[in-house]
Amino acid sequence: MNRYTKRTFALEMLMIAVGIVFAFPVYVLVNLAVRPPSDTSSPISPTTSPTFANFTGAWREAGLGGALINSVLVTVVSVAIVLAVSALAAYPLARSTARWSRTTFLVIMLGLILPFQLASLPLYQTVRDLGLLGSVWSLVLFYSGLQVPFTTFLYVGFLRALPRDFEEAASIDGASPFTMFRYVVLPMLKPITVTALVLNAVAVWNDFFTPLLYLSGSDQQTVPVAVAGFVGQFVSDWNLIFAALLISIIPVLAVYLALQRSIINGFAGGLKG
Amino acid sequence: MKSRKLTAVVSALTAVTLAAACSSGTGSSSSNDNKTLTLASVDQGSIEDVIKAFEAANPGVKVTFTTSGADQYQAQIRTQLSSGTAPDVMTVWPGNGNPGATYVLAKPGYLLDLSDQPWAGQLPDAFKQVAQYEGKTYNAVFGLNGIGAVYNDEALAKSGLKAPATWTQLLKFCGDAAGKGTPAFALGIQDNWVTQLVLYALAATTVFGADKDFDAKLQSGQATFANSQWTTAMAKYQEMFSAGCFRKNPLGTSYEASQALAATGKTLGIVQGNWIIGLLKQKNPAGKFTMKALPATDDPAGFLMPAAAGAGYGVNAKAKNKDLALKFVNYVMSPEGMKLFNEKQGSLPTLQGAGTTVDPGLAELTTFVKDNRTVPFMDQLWPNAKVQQTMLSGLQEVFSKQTTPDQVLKDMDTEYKKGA
Amino acid sequence: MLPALALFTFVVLVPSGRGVYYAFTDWDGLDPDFAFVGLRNFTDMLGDEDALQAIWHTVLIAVAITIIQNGIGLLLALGVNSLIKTRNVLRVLLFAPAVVTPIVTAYLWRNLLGPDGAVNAVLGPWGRDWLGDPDLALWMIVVVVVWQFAGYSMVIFLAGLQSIPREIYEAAAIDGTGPVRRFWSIVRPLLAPAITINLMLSIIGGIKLFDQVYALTGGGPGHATDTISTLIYKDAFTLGEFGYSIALAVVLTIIVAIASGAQYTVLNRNEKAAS
Repeated sequence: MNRYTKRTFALEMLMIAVGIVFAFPVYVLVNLAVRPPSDTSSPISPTTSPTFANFTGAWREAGLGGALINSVLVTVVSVAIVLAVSALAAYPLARSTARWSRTTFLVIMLGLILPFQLASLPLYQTVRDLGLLGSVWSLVLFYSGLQVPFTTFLYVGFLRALPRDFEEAASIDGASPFTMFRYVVLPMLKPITVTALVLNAVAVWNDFFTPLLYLSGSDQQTVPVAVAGFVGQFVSDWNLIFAALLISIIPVLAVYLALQRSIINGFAGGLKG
Repeated sequence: MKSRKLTAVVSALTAVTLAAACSSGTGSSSSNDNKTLTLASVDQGSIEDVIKAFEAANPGVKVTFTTSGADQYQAQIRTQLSSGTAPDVMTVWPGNGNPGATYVLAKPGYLLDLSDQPWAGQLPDAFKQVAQYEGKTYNAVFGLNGIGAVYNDEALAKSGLKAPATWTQLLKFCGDAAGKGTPAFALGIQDNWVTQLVLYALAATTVFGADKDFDAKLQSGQATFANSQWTTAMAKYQEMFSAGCFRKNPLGTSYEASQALAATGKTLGIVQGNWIIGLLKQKNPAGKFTMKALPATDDPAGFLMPAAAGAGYGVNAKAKNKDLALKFVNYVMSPEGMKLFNEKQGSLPTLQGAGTTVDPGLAELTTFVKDNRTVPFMDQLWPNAKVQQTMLSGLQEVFSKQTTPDQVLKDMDTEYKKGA
Repeated sequence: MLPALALFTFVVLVPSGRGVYYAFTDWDGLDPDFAFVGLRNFTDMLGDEDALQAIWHTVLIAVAITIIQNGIGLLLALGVNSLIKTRNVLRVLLFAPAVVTPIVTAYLWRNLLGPDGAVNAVLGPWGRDWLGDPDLALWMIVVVVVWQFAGYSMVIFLAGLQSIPREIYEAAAIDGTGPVRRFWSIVRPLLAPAITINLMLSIIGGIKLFDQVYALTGGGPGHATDTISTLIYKDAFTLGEFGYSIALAVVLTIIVAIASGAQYTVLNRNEKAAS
C-alpha cells in the first residue's frame, strides 16, 4: 500500500498531464505579456524576444500602484473586522441551544442567499448620507457586513464539532465567559480562522462591482476596477492588457505561495469533525 | 516555522496598510471651492487632453474626472443622478433610445438648460433635433460621426481589387476577396453594439433613400419596421454574409480583434464608424485607410451615409459649480476645444469654423455631410432603449440562426409601440 | 454577537428589505416620479421570453458547474492524495486559479477562446467559434468556472480525505476490498462534511454567477448565455427598468433559497445516516 508501484507512476504521469492542461492559460498569459506588440506569431509559440516594456507601460497607464495600496488596505481592515465580529458572534450561536439562538442563526444565514443586487441602491444612498462615497472606507463598511454570514457559518460549523470538555473544565475552575473565550476557545479556533481569513481575503480582494459603484466619481480604485477600466481603454492592445492582468495577479499569488501550507492545512483544520 | 512565516506576511501587510492610511488621508473629500470641477466621461483617450488644455486656459482650476466604458458609465451615472451625487459635467448621448441620452436625462429634470449659451443657436438643425428636449438645448454635441466601409489601402492594392461602387460590384468584390484568401471585411459582433453598423449603413440608403420621412411615419404609426424597406436592409445584410463579405466566426470576434484584422491587412477593410481610422493607425502606424459609403443599391447618386452627432456633454442641474461647468462646455464648443477634441477622436466638428484638420481618409464623409446626404443614426429618435437592444441581440441571434430577420423587426415594432 | 448582527443588519438586511420595495414599482431608476404597480413586474416576467430563458440558463449553469466542478475536484483530490512525487507541487498549482480575480480570468479566457486565440491554435482544424456559437458559449462559461474552482473543491475534498485515518484503509485493504468498493463504502461516508460544503458553495456560486458571464460573453450571442444576474444588470442599467430588474433579483433570491434549502435537508439527512 505504501510503495511506489508502476500504477503510481502511471497516475503520476496522468496527474502531470492534468497539471499542464490547467497551467496552459497561465503560460499563454505570461507568453503574451512579455511579447512586443509587433510580434504577431501564434499565441502558443514561445516569444522569441521577450520584453518588459509592457509591464512598465501597464503599471504607468493603469494606475495600479495606488489601486494596489487601496486593495490591500480594504482587504486587511475589512477581513480583520469580519473575523473578529464573526468569531465573537459564532460562539454563543454554536453553544446556546435557546430558541433565539437558532432564529438568529437562520436570519444571519439569510445573508448567504440574498443577491447583492437587491441591496445595492438603498445601500448606495446610505453610504452617500454617511458621506463615504468615493472613499475606500465605504468598502470596508460594506464587506464588514457582507462577509459576516459566511464567516459566521464557518465558525459555527467548526465550533459545533468541537468537544466542550475544555470549556467545561474551565467553567468548573470558575473562569468568566470572556476569559474562557479568550484563553480556551480562541486558541482552538486557529485552523478555521486561517480558512476564513483566506476565503474572505480572496472574496474581498476580487470583488468588482461594489468598488465600481462606490468609488466611481473619485480617483480611488481597487485592483479589479483599475484592471477593468484598463481593459476598456486599451481594448486593442492585448499584450499590454495581459501585462496588467499579470501584475494584478502577482501579489495574490505571492501571498498564496508564501502561505500555501497554512492555507491548505487551514481547510483541513476547518473541516475536521 | 509555519506561524513565523504567517506573522511575517501579516506584519508586512500591516506596514503597507499603515502607509496607505497615511497617504490616502486626503483622497476622498473633494473640496467645494469654486476652483474645482467634477466630470465623468466616456471619451477615454481624448478628454484627458481637453481637460489639460482647459486647465491651462484657466489657471488655478482643477478638474477631477473619471472615465469608463459606455455601459459601466450608464450604470454609474443613473445611480449618481438619482442619488444626487452626480458630477457637474457628464457625457450625455444625443437624442433618445439609450439610458444616458438627452431626452432620458432631461425629462426628469436632471440636466441644466443650455439654450442661452452662445453656441446653442448656431447648431445645424440636424444636431438641434438631438441636442434638444422640448425645444431647449441640453447637450453640447461637439463631434460628428459617420458609418461606412473603411478600406486598408495597402491590402486593397495588394489584392489587385478596387473598392466597389455599386451593390452588384460589392457582392462580386466580396467573392473575389474571399477567393484570394483575404476576406473583404472584418466583423466583430461579439460586442453586440457592432451588429448595427452594417445594418445602419445599408438602411441609410434603402430605407431613407426611398422615403426621407420614414421616421416621422414611424412615429405617427403610419409605418412599421416589419412592413418597410428595413426588410430589404436586413435581407442585404444577410446577402453580404452569404456572399462571404465577412471574415469567418464574426460572433466570436470582438470589436478589438476586428480592428487588428483590418489594421494588419488580414481583411481588406471593415464596416465601422470614422473613429476606427485613428484606432487602426494605432495598430498599424504606417497604414493608410479610406472611408467610403457602403453601396446598398446600384445607383451611387442615391447613396446616403448614416452620420450623426456623437456623445456630447451636459451639465448637472444640481451642479455644485455651475459657472465652471458652463465654462467647460463652452470651452468644448469653442473653436479651440472643438478642434482639439475632434482631432483627437478623428471625428468632424458640429460647428462651422472650428478649423479642425480632418483625416484625409474621411474626404467622402465630409462631402456627404456638406451635400446633406446623411441620415442620423436610426436609434437616436427611437422612443426607448429597448428597441435598440432588441435589434442588437436580435441580429446576433439572426447570425447564429436562432431567429429570423422578420421576427427581429416585428419585435422591434412591439417595443417601439410601447413608447417612452 | 451584537457588532456582527448590527453590521449585518445595517449593510445587508435593511438595504435588501428596502430594495425589495422597488420590485413592486415601475421605477426607471432615474425619474423621482414613479408608481406602485403591485405584482405587475412578476406577471410580466411570465410572458417575457428573455427572462424565462435566463432562469433556465441560470439553473443549467449552476447544475453543470456543481456536478463537473465537484466531480473533477474529487478526482484531483484522490490523485494528489496518493504517493505520487509531484503531489505537493500539483496541489499548489491546481488550487492557484481559485485565488485569482474572476474578472481577470474571464478576460484571459475571452482572449484564449477567440477565433484566433490560443485554444484554436492548439486544436488547429478542430478549432471552433467557442464564444460565438450559441450552442457552445454556455458550456464555455462552465469550462472557465470549473477551470478556476475545481482546485478549490479539490482542497476541500483533500481535507476530508486526510482526516480519514490510514488504518481504516489498511484494514479494508487487508480484507481484500476492491478500490471502488473501498471508496464507496468507506471513504464516501467520511467525506460527507466536505461534500456538503462543496455542493453548497458551488450551487450558490453557480446561481449567482455574474462576473464571468459579464466579461466572457455579456450574455450573448443574442441572449444565449444570459443568466438572471446579467439580465438584472441589463434591465436596470441599459434599459432603465429598475423595478423589473429588482423583481428578477427577488426571483433569484427565491431560487437560491429553494436550492440551498433542499440541499441542506437532503445532505443533512445523508450526513446523519452516514455517521
